[in-house]
Amino acid sequence: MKVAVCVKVVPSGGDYRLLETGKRLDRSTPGEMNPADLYAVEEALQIAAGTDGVETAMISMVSEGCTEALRLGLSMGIGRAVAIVDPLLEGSDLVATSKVLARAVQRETPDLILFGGQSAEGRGGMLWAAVAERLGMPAVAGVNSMTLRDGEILASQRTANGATFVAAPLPCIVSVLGSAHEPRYPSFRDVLAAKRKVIELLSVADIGLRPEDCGDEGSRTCVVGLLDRPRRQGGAAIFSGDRAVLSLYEYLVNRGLA
Amino acid sequence: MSTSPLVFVELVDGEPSPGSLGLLAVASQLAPSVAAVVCGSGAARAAGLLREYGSETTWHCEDPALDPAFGQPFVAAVAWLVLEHSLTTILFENSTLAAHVAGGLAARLDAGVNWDLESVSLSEDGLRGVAFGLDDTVAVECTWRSPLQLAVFRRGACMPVAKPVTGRICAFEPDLGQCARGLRVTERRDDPDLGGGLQSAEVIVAGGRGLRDRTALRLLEDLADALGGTVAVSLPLVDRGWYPAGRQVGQTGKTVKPRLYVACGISGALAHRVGMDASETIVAINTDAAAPILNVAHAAAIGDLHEIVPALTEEIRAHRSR
Repeated sequence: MKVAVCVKVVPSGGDYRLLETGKRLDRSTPGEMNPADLYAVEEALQIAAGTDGVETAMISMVSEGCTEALRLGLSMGIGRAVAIVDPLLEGSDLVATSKVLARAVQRETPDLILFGGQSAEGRGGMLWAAVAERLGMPAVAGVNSMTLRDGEILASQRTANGATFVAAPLPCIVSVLGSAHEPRYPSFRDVLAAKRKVIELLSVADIGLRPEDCGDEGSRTCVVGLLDRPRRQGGAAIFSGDRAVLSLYEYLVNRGLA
Repeated sequence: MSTSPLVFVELVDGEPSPGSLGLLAVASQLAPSVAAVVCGSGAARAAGLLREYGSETTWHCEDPALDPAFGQPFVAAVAWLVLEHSLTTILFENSTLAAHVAGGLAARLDAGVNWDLESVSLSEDGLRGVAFGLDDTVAVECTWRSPLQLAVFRRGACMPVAKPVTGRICAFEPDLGQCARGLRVTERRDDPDLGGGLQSAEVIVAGGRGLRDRTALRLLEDLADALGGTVAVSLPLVDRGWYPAGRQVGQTGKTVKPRLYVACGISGALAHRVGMDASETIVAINTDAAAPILNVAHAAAIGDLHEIVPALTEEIRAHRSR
């Protein structure tokens, strides 16, 4: 059995910079694995630990120079990684990205495909649904805990008033939304071992797509530009130390909230 | 706009979500005539209500396969409507189900999807949207390059506006496809709520992972009491069984928009923030000055909530009794 986890690399620690054109995020920094995706990695490892002969892999569409960020997942215990790296991919939206990932997933023929929740910088949380549609595979959303039993995934979804428990046949796609298992911290030994694991690099041509399937041309949305009116200027008023409580109290009083 | 924009109406406990009704008001700014689709158990009854908010044409389908636990039959149903009626614009309010439907439609119908939208407008070149990106630090103007345009609004962005019309209500029976075959619900569990009112509360004191133990919730209840508010929690505390699921704020819980939201020991994962970041004033109490919650907070006290929360409660009460 094979479990694949689709992950994204995002700028580290929420340090977002826009390229000079102002329309795209600068993805040239090494970045880190999207924090929400670590929960999906952890679920994959939990399933692998509970079943004999489970192979694990990560799949990521990633900018050149960001592939090393995938070592975190490898050091947590994922067997290997597949990275689709190609300048043609730049500017791909959901339609284009889902095409790329669906092809990469198909090539791996996994029995179970996991996605994390929303990415830290994009907060779309729709990619898994688009990939499921392209692969014609059943999909379960917003799963907070799951187990594999008798060739079926048993999962629970949180709802506004409780929980729904569902069963899904394999192969299927699951989007994981935290929090049944906290992502593990790799030990120093795991980190060293991960350095020897393989990150396979694939181009757009390698997965059988044409240049017009991805990037700007393959996309169905575009950014017109930035507007000069951010919702927030960034930066909260910070109160710390001995006067923190009093300052916070005054802050609330000044706004008529206390 | 050549055809009516379609609003995807989501049912929560059999009622159209407030955001879905708000989308009808947004859609009516785009075109003289607005349509809505509502699917699942209770859809026919809800369809009547949508006329009170401006839906001129309401399609409803109660096929039992349309269970909100699974999005794919909804994708099939809405895709059927799009093709049957040559629809060009669909509006959603973000939720787990809406994300599934919009993402699925994007792939199935090769349609552009913009999300996290605050507003849309019609320009000479067609539909344009405004979204706040990168933790709200930039406002982005975006557009579509496909015949079908999918617009997913941020939760809490659209408020319902009553606008009674004498609209048409039509049942439809789409082919729901095979995709979701084999998926089944094995059990549903509803936690008893602590009396509801979360969504209408003016002040919410919320607790998260940073709470040491169950008894710390008492500290939050005291602060909520002093502020005239109520208590909510993030997902981990529901998972730990410390508080009922009905009190959860976030992607899989409630969306709230109080005057004041005090986030205690909540790191601010996106799944939580989408449920509360439209609050008027957000205050964080956290040991970690680098926690993502500070990116949406207006003010933050850095320190141990187990000390700050009771001290703040005391401060408020002391001044009040004076």
